[in-house]
Amino acid sequence: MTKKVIIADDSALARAFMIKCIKVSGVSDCIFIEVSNGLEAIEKLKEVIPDLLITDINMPKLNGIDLVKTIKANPKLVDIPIVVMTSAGNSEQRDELERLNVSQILAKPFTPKDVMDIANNLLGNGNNKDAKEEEW
Amino acid sequence: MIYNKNLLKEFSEGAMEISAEIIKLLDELPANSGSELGSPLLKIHKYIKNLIKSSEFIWLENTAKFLKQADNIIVAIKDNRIEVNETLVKSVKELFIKFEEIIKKEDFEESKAIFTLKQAAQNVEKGLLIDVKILPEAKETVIINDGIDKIPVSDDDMLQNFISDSNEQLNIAEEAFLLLKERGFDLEIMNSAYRQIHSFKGNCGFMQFDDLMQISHTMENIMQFMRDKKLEINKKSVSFMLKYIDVLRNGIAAIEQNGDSSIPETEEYIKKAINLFPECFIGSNIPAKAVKEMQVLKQDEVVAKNLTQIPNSNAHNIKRQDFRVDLEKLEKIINLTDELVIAENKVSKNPEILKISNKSLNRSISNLQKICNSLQDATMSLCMVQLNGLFKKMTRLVYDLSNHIGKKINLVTVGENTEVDKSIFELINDPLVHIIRNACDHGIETPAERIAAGKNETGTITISGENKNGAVWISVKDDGYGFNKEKIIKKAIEQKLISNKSKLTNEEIAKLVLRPGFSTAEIVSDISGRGVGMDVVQKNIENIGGEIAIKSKEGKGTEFIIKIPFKRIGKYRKEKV
Repeated sequence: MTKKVIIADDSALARAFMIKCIKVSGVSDCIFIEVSNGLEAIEKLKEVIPDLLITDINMPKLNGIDLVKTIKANPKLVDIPIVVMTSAGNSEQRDELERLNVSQILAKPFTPKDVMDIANNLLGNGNNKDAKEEEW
Repeated sequence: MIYNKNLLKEFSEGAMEISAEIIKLLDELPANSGSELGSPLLKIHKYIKNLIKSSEFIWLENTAKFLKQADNIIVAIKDNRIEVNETLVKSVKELFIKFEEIIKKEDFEESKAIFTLKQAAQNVEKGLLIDVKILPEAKETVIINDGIDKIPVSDDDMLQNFISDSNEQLNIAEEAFLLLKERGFDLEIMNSAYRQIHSFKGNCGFMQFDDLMQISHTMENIMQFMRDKKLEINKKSVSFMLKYIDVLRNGIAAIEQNGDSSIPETEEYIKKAINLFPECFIGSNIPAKAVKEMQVLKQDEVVAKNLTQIPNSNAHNIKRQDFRVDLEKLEKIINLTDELVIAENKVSKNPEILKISNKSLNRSISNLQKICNSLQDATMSLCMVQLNGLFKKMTRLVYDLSNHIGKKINLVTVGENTEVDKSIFELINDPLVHIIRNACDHGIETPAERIAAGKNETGTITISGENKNGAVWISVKDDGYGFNKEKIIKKAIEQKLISNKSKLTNEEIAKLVLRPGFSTAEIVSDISGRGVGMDVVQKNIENIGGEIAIKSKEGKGTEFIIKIPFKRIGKYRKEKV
């Protein structure tokens, strides 16, 4: 089945880097939806429910944290796995993200391998694990 | 409540859609039957779970409670505890229609309407199909009774301290009695039990819990005779004490739950004690409910004097020094420590620093690493609890069960000092109780059977705990019947858990007993046999990310091995990326 991934980052270069890493990681059959801020992401979420959402924190209009909050508050979207990119060392931000219960925090600077591992984990076999949890 | 309007709007929009989906699925329910029910039910269950997650996220506590209750109903239908019929489906549907109406409102908030809805859901589950429609209107009749206002005593902190102290005192006394039963009379152990009940009574007096005080005072009287060797320590007296300790414990639990300290049966308990051990009460001023405070005090002074003269050399009584710390503060320390270790790594692994070959710098860095690691170990151990409290509880359980079913069972505990995370500790209690109940009831043979099989008359159950490979391993092993493979397979085919052609490995056969509803017991006893317990075991253990394995040899016994992670995943900190 085709997997849908939303990537929210205001830097086009960063989005391209992400897509490249995920493609290299061997996850096949993936559509990437690129958005440049949180508001756009929310608009997109009204049309598609992705298998994974990757977001930066510092974005214009609506930042990453508020995007995550909006997703978690909506019962339709609450199950979407979320990866948040953050700058290292900002422990307050990290704590807040942990309270928000995101799937993964990706601390900058990260390597292509970090991204590949996450992609494999959340888009590859990882998804089956989620499905299993939901059973009785 | 901490939420903002936008999030609330987001929630209500999504919830409306999902609720509509649920109603649609409910419509399909009565038409389907039997096995086909599973898939729409699973969908509904999933939807509700998502609703719960979101509502908890934005702190809609009552909404979450209502949804949980609704989910209970769905699970009950799935487990065949409630029969699906049109009335039931209609009631559940109405719940969700009402729910939609409530969340649709612009100024939706956690109103009493939601609370009423929760109660309506509860009634549906109980089978009282009350018309839901009228309930939300009758706002005035809803009394949100938390019971907290009933607690008469000073402040909450004091009450909390009292409760935890009391539980500890009762635990120590219980342990002492179990030891006395095993070893016979021992003055030091006896005194340790006496001291606990004595101070328990004192605390109750201080908190003005009169009923608890009277019962413990009665116990003290009897214990005095036991200590002075005027009353024999035997099954009768020990069982009596254990039972009364439970009475006190229930009393404490009631206070904790709803602040109600009265025990209506107090006088009966006291009368019963006098009937059983009349010799202990000659010339005593009990049971008159109006025990004069002064008299009690006088008596206490004497007792206290006696007690202080007894050297407190028993190893059991070396008390650790404890004090309470807010869990949040603790978690902050743990998080900061992790942060520190990461920062330390960043510095010491920094390529620029690695380039420098300076002995003194290297030494400083390795010293820093060492300290960081020790600090991390130390903070980790802050939230760790030893298993021995849990094992002690099991000792009591086995004692009670073996008396109850007339088997002779000896419980051996190994590795009580193994430490586990506190959150895990609380979650493994239930599974362990189930496994041990099963082992006592089905695992161990009756004394006659054991002799016939050439075994020792007394059966042995061994619980052991161990830290190995970054996980905690708990094993419960009995030397009883073991699994009868044919019987299990036959039963599984009967219950359509497997087809009669399937070939199973030993492991798979053993795993069958964990399936819900599976039981080979011909008769359902009051201890086990319904086939629910082992299912719960597996669920609970999987919930905390653990695994369970079963080894069994017919005629030799069965071993349950539980592997649980050190820490609850995601509780404090996700693994470093």
